[in-house]
Amino acid sequence: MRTFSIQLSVILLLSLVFGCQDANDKALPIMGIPTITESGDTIQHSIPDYTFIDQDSNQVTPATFSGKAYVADFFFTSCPSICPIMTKEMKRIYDSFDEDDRLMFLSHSIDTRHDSVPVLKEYANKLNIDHNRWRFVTGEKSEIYDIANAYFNIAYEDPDAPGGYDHSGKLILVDANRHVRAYCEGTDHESVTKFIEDIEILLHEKDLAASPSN
Amino acid sequence: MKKTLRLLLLIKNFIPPKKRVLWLAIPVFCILINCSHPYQQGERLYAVNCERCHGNDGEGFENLYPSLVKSGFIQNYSPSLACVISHGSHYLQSRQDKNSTGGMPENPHLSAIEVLNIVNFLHHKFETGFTEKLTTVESSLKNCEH
Repeated sequence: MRTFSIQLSVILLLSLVFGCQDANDKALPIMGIPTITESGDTIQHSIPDYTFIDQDSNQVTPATFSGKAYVADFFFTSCPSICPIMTKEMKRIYDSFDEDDRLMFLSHSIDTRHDSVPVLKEYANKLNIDHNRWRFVTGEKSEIYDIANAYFNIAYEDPDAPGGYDHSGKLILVDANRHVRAYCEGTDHESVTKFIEDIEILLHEKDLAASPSN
Repeated sequence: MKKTLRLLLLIKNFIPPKKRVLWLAIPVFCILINCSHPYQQGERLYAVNCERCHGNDGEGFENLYPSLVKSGFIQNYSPSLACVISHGSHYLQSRQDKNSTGGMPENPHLSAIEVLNIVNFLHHKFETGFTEKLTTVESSLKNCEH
């Protein structure tokens, strides 16, 4: 009986030490492969500069998301395969953080031929979203395809793919310092639910709003 | 379902009594596991071709993917439903809103019989009371101008 109570108190003690980390204490990692400079400094993977045009013909650059976190994805409006599910999941995330100005959304169209500004505008209108918080962008095809890699996505034209383009469906969480902090499969409901928890953790980080976008 | 049962009871009389149990058990078993409605193929085709956008219950999504629940093409019986399924927005733009940039894709891979199966599944799902014939679908598909 005595050994049992010792065991029990050890378990209780351990659970006190390790079990009491609430969401505020958790931190998301900085994802991607860091580069090490000649002087030995470590530079974390970050999203490079870009210039795109959104559904209201506004220029979208990293400054658009200054001091904010954002969720990025790659899609095209006429995509018959994975995009409808991705868009529904993106909207679920958007609705989860309704009226939380600290989080924005950036959807890159990979169909630069068809998805013109008016097409993106109609798509955004039909989704019933705030155009300031969720930007649907188009731009130079090569710039979009290149930046997809920085977001751990791939995108390319493929005449054999449904709709003519092939791409991965990852949703990427980027913080105010342009670092990737979490990702999920945009077609997997469970994965997205976990992703929403990750976004909450990031938004709890005290310095999110204060961070300069460098 | 009721018709099938009545048919089975009729057939029963033609089977020798000793083998009756076995001969009846097999179809009854099949009915129990499979045939909740006769539009199984249409249901499977819907799941593969339509559900991602229009949803499991045809509820649609925001204003992006139209709800099928009150769709005029289904509720008011229209032979053009076959054209909508087969040609998507290209057909709709030619008939209704020419400025629409709607994104329903074409489904050229669907045969007339598969389109028919989807049409009949939709009429069954939304309880319109309509059923469609293959000849009607075939002639509709020949005349979908867009």
